[in-house]
Amino acid sequence: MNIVLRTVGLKKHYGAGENMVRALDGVSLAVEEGAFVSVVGTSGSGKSTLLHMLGGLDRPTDGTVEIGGKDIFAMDDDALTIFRRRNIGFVFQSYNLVPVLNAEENILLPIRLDGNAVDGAYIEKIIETLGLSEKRQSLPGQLSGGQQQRVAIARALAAKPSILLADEPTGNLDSRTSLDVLGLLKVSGERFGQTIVMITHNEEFAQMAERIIHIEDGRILGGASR
Amino acid sequence: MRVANRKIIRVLTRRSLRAGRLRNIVAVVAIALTAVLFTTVFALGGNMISAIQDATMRQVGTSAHGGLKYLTQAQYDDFAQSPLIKDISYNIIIGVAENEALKKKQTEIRYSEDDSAKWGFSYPTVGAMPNGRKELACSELTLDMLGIPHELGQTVPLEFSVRGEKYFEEFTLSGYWKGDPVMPAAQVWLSRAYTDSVAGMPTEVTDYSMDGIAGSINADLWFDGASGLEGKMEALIAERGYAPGEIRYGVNWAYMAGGTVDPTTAVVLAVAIVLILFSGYLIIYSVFAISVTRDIRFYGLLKTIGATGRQLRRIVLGQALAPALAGIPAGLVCGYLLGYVLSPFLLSMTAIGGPARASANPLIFVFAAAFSLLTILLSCRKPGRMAARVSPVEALRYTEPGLATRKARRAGKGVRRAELGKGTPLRMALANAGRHPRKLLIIVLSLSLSMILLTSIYSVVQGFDMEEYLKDQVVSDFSVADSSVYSALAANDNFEGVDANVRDGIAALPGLERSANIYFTDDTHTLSEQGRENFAAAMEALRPLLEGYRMDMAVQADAFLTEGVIPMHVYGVGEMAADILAREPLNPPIDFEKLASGDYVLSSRIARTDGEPGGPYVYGIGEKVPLKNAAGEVREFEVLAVLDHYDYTISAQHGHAIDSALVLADNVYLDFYGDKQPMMTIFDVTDGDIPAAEAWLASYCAEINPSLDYRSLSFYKAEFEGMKNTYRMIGGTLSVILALIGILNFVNTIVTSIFARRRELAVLQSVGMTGRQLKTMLLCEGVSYAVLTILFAATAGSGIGRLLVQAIAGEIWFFKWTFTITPLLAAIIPLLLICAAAPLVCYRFMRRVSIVDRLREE
Repeated sequence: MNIVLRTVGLKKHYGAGENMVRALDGVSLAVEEGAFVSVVGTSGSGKSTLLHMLGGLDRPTDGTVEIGGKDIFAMDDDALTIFRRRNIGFVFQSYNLVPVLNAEENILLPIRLDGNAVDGAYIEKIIETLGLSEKRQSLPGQLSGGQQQRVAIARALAAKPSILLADEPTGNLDSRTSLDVLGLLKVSGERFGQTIVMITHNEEFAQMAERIIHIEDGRILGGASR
Repeated sequence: MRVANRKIIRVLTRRSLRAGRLRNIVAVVAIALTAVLFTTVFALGGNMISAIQDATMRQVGTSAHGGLKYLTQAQYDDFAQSPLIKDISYNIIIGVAENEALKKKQTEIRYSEDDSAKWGFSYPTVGAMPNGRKELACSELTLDMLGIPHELGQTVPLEFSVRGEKYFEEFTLSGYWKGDPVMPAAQVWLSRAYTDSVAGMPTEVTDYSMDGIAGSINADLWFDGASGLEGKMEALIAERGYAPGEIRYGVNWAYMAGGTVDPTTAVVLAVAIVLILFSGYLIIYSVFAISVTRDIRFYGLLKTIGATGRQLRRIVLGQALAPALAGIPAGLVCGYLLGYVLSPFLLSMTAIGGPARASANPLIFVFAAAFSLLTILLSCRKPGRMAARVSPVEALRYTEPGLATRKARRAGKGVRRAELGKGTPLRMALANAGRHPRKLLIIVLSLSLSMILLTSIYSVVQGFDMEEYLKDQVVSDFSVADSSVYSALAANDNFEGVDANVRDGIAALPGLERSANIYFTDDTHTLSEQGRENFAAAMEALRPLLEGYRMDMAVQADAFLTEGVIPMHVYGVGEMAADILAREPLNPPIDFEKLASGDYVLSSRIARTDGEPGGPYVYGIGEKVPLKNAAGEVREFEVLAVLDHYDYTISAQHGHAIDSALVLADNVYLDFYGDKQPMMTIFDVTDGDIPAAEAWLASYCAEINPSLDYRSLSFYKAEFEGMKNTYRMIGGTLSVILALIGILNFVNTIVTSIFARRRELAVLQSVGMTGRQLKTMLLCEGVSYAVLTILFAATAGSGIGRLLVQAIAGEIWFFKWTFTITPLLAAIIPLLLICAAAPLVCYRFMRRVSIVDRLREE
């Protein structure tokens, strides 16, 4: 399999001296194309920091992140932003939809920001897969939590990114809705051929992935394929 | 592709606009107020410039950009072909009227095309330009001088000479217009047929005397724009193949930039622009900095999804430009109206006189809109960068409940500042006010600006020294003369208006200290040989100043010289008036006894048109001056002293192109010229009797002889007060608008800050802070802004104010700087009230939502 995502010796330190916090302390991992990986760890283990690094939202103290063989931190801010909107989709715990845009506009936002033509058929398929056909015109405030998270997943998939990063995507949802959303996430990933890295502290949800990476105190404890 | 991604930015901008209604309202008002200030200042400046331009054009005698002089028909036809010219028209000079009745005003006789006459403000409003051979058109002023009723078909006699041949002709009045006493020469239009018959057009003009130029063409012309006229004129002459100097030309200096804006006005304008720009920056920046901070998650989110910094900057800019669409036009309209209302105050001060005309120059609006836009662009740079630089991770953290790091920092600051205050709410209020030092600074500056301007205006007005102002203007307690003497616009002055009755009244006034009569003759003086020599030398010295636009004054001077006759003011003055002349620092002492002995005269220098002292004289010390009276008797007087100038306040208060005066003692004057009434009587009374004297004089001039008018100390005091009022009105209005901007900025900041902290405040209440304590805290917060503002305005502000005052009034000769803080003291109470009221009103609104609901809000 092709390695789509690779980190080497990734470190992120905050502060200095005695107060120094090692959020990430030398993480090296590789993810194959099309894989569904979950990252599990306790609060403060560094898993969110890792995800931010993988997505290029934050710059590491040391180490590299390569996506599709490209060192993303070699790019300047605007170049990285553009790279991100073309190659990486995000799903957050708090949905983070743009409140002033309706569901469909939120989904299309990354494509529009890029100024590209919308692949109508593909978007239709996503919307249909995620069961949002009825809610296109609704503003985020008018949607339930589960619906909002499905819009967020649709948005993450819209630009056909090679990698989808999900940070506690079900953290604000009840367990039934959580399972629904995760199921949809997995199905979408399979159907649209995307690599998914998901953070969770829920072992049960983590089991849905093909591979689980345990992280504690900024280090990987073990990563096994199921 | 660019177009496509702009679309979504537009959508986002529009939606974010819809989401921020309060911000929009504040932005619209802020931008409108800024535009009002810019427009008012530019409209005032524009009206001032156009008033000065109007006055200059009237003095020049035409509105055309420039003129080519003494052309032949062939030359004119050639110039008319030039592509450099936008419009051209001409007139033909025949000569100068020699009627005795027209001697006082240079009256030029010409044929003119319609356009040239129109541009020269001399086109018939009743009747038409002369068409029949012996028809004539002239102004009502000319008709008045000739004693002819304003009626078409009247017979108008005209005397003139062309190349040595004298003409006495009668013409039929075909048209007339009002006429303008300010114009240096009056025009009389004759028909082309008649013109050709008496003044055949020369084939070449080489002799620029009146004889040489008679029958030649004066062309008036317009270029595309009014800038760089001198260069355009030279280019035109070169383009038609003439050598420099071969064609004489004149440029209308009404269009010269240097002639319209003096350095003081330019400095005041520049200071005003900077002040407004700064004030506009403070509020617009503050509105959008707050808005971006509040919406930071929105921008962070967009950045996470993939919006670039440029795209985010464009959203912020769009949020400011949309309110500008409403704010700028509203500001332009209000500012223009305000400028219209304030202009008369400004113009009344400039001694231009005449009706104030509101300039609707589109440049006023272009400049005002451009500067408002510039202010917005500058103000949005930083907020735009804030939005562009937002770190996606930081922005995401805002969503998470654990704001631990920020809270901790805040708490730390609060504790450190806690030592400053004693009561808990006060301590917290100070900590809150100091939480964002930049915000605090901006509000303090914003509120201070108007106070600084107000203080400056106040100290300008306060610094106007009336003593100093009156010293030059008031030479006697009272002066009385025919009202036409005082009026710059009257056409036919009555120089013998002070009747015996009023003189008797003055003589009988209780407390009269001294008085003097001033007699006057607007003479045409035949020069002595020596005088002719002196005058020729004087004209040579003055020639550069006399190069006028229409007919060279030099040509007129040549005519004077050929005839040996010049206009001359002859005064007969009493001893008190002679003392006034002697008091002028530039004038020599005057031995009045000797002057009154009968053989002597004072000679005054010819006034230089550039206002500099030390002009040339017609008669020097010891030289003999031959004067001729109405009976034809000639008597010689010896020049006793040469005056630099004859004092304006006791003069006939009008001028000629070449102004000189001779002064006799009153008894000598009456002995020689025969008994007549004085032009003016001046007198002093003891201080205690001034009010009674003034009351008597006022009622005399109003009821007994209404053609008389008077000047007194109180008249000049009123004039002085009027000038102070102008500063108060304009400065006060600008201060009020600046104050509105400052207050709006403060209210917006306080309201958004309390709104943003509503959850934090709910937390405080939930842990036991009473509503009263909370109110006290918010009140203290608001008041701390007021206190800091007053402190700033009183310290650094007064330094800035000093510079402002220097810029506004530094050049005014009767201004003395005085330190004052009265306006600051007066502003303390209203400022405290506003700063205390805003947070309390805001709290009242917030209280409507229950604590629980506020705690739940994210």
